[in-house]
Formats: sequence, C-alpha cells, structure tokens
Amino acid sequence: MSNQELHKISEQVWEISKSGSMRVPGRIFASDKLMQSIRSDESLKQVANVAQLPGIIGYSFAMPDIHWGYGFPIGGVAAFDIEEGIISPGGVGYDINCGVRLMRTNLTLADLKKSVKDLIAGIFSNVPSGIGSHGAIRKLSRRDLEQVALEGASWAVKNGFGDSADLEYIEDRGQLAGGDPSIISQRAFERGADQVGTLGSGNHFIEIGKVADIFDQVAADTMGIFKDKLVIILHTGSRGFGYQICDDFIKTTLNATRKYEIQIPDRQLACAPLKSPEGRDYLAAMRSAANFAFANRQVIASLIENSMMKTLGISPSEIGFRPVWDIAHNIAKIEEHQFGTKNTRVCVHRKGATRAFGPDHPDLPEVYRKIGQPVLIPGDMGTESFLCVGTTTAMQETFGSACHGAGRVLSRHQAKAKARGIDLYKTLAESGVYVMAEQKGTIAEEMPFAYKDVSEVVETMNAAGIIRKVARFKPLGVIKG
Amino acid sequence: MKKRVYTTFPHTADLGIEVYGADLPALFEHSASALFDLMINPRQIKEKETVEFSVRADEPELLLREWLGELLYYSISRHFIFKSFRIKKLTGRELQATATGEAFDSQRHNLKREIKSVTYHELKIIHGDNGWQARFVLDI
Repeated sequence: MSNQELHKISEQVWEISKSGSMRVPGRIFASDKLMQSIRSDESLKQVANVAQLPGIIGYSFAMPDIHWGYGFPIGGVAAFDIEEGIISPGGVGYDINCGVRLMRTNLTLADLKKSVKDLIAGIFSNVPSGIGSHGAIRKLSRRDLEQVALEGASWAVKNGFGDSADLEYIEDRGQLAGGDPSIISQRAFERGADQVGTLGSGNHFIEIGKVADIFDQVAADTMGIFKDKLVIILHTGSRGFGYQICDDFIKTTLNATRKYEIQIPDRQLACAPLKSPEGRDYLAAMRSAANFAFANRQVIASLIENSMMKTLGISPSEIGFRPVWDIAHNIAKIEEHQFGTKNTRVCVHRKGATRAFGPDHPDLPEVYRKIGQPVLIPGDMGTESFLCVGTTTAMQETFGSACHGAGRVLSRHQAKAKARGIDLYKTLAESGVYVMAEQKGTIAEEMPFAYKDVSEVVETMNAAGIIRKVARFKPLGVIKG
Repeated sequence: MKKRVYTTFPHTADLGIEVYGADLPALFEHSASALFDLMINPRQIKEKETVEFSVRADEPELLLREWLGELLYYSISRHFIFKSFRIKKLTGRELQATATGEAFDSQRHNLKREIKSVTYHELKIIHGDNGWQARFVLDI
C-alpha cells in the first residue's frame, strides 16, 4: 500500500484514504514498529476490502495485532447499519466465538504442595486437546446439542459444570439470545456431538500464570486479581460445530451476494443484508455456535478446577477458583452505539478483536460497571499476557472494541522452519515455562518468535486510550492444543 | 506423493496452497492429494476402501472448493483418511470422483495438523502455458 493511500494521523493511528469502491476510510491502530510488520503482508488490503461492504459505518478498523486473514483481516472490526448493512460469516470466521476466559485463584506458587508441572499434567489428562479432540464428557444427543445452542454456559451449569454465580462473569452471561437450532445442518450437529469440553488444536491453549504486575490497583481489586496469585487463561471456541456453521453459511451468503447484487472483492467476504432471510438465519446460527463456545469454556473451566483439586488435594474454597471474565473475539453482535450525534443500532463484526465496553455501560455486570469491561489480551506462550479494561474512548472511537492478542508475525510454516534444530521444550523451560502438547509441531508454530511483541500491542492501545492496563501475567505452564 | 504437485505459499495465519496439473482432472486430483498430504504422511495410509463423491457448483473454482470441502467433511465426520483420488467425470459444474483410503487409526496414523476448512479467500484456477494451476487458502 502506497504512502499516499496510508498516512499517519497521530502517534498510534493510521488511516487508509477512501478510494475506489471503499465506502469509508480504513483506520489502523499501530506504532511505527508494528506498522512495519503490518505492511509486510496483505492485511491492509483486507482493511480496504472490508471498507467496500454495504452499510459500513465510520471506518473499517484494524487493531495493532492485525494480520493477514481470509476475507476480513484478523484484528479487524467493522460496524454495519442495521437497516442498510450486511452480515458476513467470513467477518466472524470459522471458529465462531473463539474466545478467552481468565480465572483467578487464592493460590501462590509457594502455596502449591505440587509443582506447576504436576498441575499441567493433571489438566492435560482431564481436558482432551489436539487434533479432533473429543470425549471430555458423554457424547451429546441432537436434543442435548440443541439445548447447548440455546442456553450456552447455563446449559453447562445445569449439567453440573461450575456454578450459576460464574455466569455473572461471562460476556452476555454466556448465552446469546436468538439462537435457533432448527436452521443448523445435521453436519454441524455431527461435528459438535463429542466436542463439548475439548480444547482443540492450533493456537488454543490453557495457561497457568502468576500475577506479575498490577498497574491499576482499584480495577485489579475489583476483579479479585492480586500480585503473585495464580491465574488460569483458557483459549478455545466452538470447535467443529462452529466451523461447519461458518462453512454452511458462506455457501448461503455467496448465493445471497448474487441475489442481492452485492459487489465483493473476495468471495470470502460473502454476505447478506441484515434484514434478509439469509442474514437473519446466519445471525441465529452464529448465535447458536457462540452459545456452544460459551458452554465449551464453562465445561473446560470446571474440568480444570476438578483437576486442580485432585492434584493438590484441596477444597474449592481453598483454591478460590472463579472466572474473572470470559470474552468472545470472533463474533458479530447487534449493539447500540453513538455515531455522530445520534444513537444507532449496528452489527459489529469483531474478527480477532474483543469487545471493550467502557464504564457505566448497561450491558456490564454491576460489579464491573465502575471500572469498565475486563479485556483479556494473551501474548505468546513464552512471555506475558495482559488484563485491561475498556474505556469511554473505545466507545467513541472503535464501537467499543480492542485488540485480542499479540497477533502473528511469522506464518506457521516460517515459524516451523525457524524452530528447526531448537530444543523447544528446553528453550521455553529456560524462560520458566513448562509446556505440554499433543503435537510437537504445534509448539513450533506457536513459539514466541512467531508473534508480535504483545506489550507493544497493548501499549499502543493503552496510549490511544482504547484500553487501560490493569495487570500483567507471567506464564508458568502451558497446554497447547 | 511421488512428484511434487503442489507448493505452499506464506500466509500469516493460515496455509496457502498452489497446485499444478496438466489438465483439470489432474488439477482436482492433485488438490485432493495436497489437502491430505498436509494432514498426514500418505505413506502411513493403506488403500483399503473406496468412496464415491458427486459434487455440483456454479463455477469451476467453487466446484474445486466443494470437492475438497466434501472430502474434508467425510474425513472429519467418519474418522477416515484418503490417499488416492480419481476423477471420473468433470464438467464446469459437476464432478464425479472416487477417493480411496482407510479408517483413521491413532496407533498407525500421525496427524500433522487440523484443517478447519477450505476457504474461499483468493480462490483461483488459472490456465497457463504449463497447464493448470489452482490457488486456495486452508483455515488451520
């Protein structure tokens, strides 16, 4: 992208001028250093492509962890007018409601009678991970899965996984209204039947870390986050159920794109008007998959707690295990935002981006209303992760959205090539991280050098006022999918 | 795979594939071989059972994606892996083919990666001086 098309408008903000078929400009949050790596792949072109979709409002946004995806860039945010706009399965991605849950504990490393290695091994044997992982809990019938698709995390609680108090600490209480199992294919039900409670592969992980730094004492206290205490971060989504729903609805929306004569620069941007039957059906199917993912994370969290109790031989109250927050980062949501001088209902697509609502938002639980919504930003497995909160600026500037992680800088292939000849387990152990994985190849693909510097990503968002840093976590043990 | 009929191209998050074939049936067969070669070493697969596939789509590129999508779905849902492929009929809108392989056995089969889907991102079929070429991106 030329310098005429891309220009810097402040220390952390860049703009792609409106040109050709773009309906709005592109807006990218990045430091100079991050922009260098962003320019090395096709992601800026994808920002401009998204800007061409009907009904887009304001800007086609990219967060500092942006990288080349398929269709939408990963790290992309776009809001579409509810009357004139579209919804795109490719704008959500295959892993619908892929997301992150942060859990806090009362334990410090010194309190552990066993090692982090023992804890990781216990969780590893209790939570199925890796390619096609299955069988964490009984295989669910079609009727069970329909309930999962409607009820999300509360289905898991009803079935003995966790406590109803957990729901307070999940985005949308872990249940999106408007799911509709009747429009979901048999294929999706088949793929999801034995996958509730499984981690999957790729970049999915479970991490035990400790609170290394507190930046905002009031917010940290509110969230029950205290220095040196152990925390657990879980990253997974809707597994084969979501992948199949995305696949099915890209086909549906490719036909809709032709039917409604929508011009798209890439087939993966297939979309349907929000008001059309195809658009409404996708929204309902996507919400069902999102509920599957919320249930999945709720079940896995409960399996992790059980593993810890068993390994350490202590009671739930001694562990003090509870969710801090559970966030979706591949999703489309109908939300009300102020645009210009008026309130507008929009469909916000967040593809590899998280919601980051500021203080006083009515959708936040009472306990977090003063501090703003927790925003979880895991880094790579060797360095650090961040807990932040959303801000009023995010509400004004990015439709209440922020970054979701470090963002890849090397392709998986390049990362594997770079890892050749390196003792990966030893290298990670030297930085104080014990790792277990079903496939060694996954560790190579997910090594720290494959990712951008997460602190640079977080500092950029923090300096732009989109989020506020609350705490930093140092990883101690990781299970890679 | 005896002869390299595909290469991967760098894609930050996912996996880009370029496949070559002397004609369209060869291109479709090689695309299927590439898909499974990226999941598992074909030397680990025995040719025990043959499955028939019939696929329709409006354009050749969409037909290619449908063919690969059907193979992937069959593989995931039936825990089955394929080694060889034969195109019996191929028009611009219809494909009939067979795929031969065996049931997945975790004792003998070592999967390299999970492929979530064959995306439509920059999906292309090009006819050049040296035959046919297809380009697609896998979500992994």
